[in-house]
Amino acid sequence: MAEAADDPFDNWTVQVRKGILELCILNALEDRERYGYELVKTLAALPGFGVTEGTLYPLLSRLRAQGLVKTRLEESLEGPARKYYALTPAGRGAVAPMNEHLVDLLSACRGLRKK
Amino acid sequence: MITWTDSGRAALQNHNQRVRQGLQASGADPDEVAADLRRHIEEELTAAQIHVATRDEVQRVLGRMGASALEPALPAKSRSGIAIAAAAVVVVALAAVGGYFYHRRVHYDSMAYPPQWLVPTSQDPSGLINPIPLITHTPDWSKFQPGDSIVVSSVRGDRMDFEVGGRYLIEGDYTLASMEAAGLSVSVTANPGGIGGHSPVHPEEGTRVHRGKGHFILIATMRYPGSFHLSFNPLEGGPSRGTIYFRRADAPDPR
Repeated sequence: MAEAADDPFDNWTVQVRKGILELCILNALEDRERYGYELVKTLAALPGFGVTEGTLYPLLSRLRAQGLVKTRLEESLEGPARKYYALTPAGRGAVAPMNEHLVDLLSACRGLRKK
Repeated sequence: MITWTDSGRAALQNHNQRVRQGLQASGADPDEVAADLRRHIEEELTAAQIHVATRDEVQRVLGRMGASALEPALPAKSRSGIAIAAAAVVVVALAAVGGYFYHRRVHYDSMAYPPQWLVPTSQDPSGLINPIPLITHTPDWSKFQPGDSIVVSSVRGDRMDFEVGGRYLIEGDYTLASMEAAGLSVSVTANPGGIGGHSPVHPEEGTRVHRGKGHFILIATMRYPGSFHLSFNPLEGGPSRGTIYFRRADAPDPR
């Protein structure tokens, strides 16, 4: 079967990756704080997501407004001041249940195939 | 240390003003995003050892970054941890715009841009900053070969709609399985009864792609009223092998 852009599969993947992107950000920050420019470059390069760098800054801002990430600025000799992102306690507390929820959803979805 | 020219600063301010309302609706802080974009531009220019943020440099970086936009935030009550479910339903309308396509071999200079940014060198993305909501459609008579696909992820123009004279930066992903290589090009099919027919592919409106998956960015001009479409074209010539049309989401079906 041909895969075209209006194929239900393509529309579905677009919607799914939008929802997962926020979790990707939180996962990327789980072990350490990250320099914003590096974080954006990393996320924009995620295979299969097709996300643009311009979309990520608003998303990071929204996560900060939601209290899931926090930021700090650090002067740099090499260029502009660097903005670092890190999880807040609320963000850290959300990572595990969000990942578990995702696994549960996938498991439930896959489980239907066995019937 | 980056020095900003007045025109560079104005270009960024102009961009920020355009996206401000959308950012507010999405739950992001427009002032924070504006500062982030400025910082990102300075990072890009520093990495390229460019020390002056001119209008052209600012618009070039913004063009590469893509639209600073998110979908509106969901009401607080409807958020529940992870949002794996669909954020919106893309309405795919039926549109059949018949015709044939001119085929031209196209080339791009791979030295000027990283491979993931297949922007022909003679095209300037300056000012292509207005995101246009889309409907896409593949007519029955030009279905893709098995395993092939073209997905348009965003279109940004120098205006808010598809109009004659408008320039547009078209971004997306492709999968090519049916051929070792092909031309991936954008062109316009005239509206029924309109003047123009099918536009030949201008060299700057296409690129060569190879078997596998990849990301593309093309820039095209609408030369007469019609429908933009993207196609895979065999390098040896002949009819296109799969076409996807796109138009503004709220535009009437041109048929």
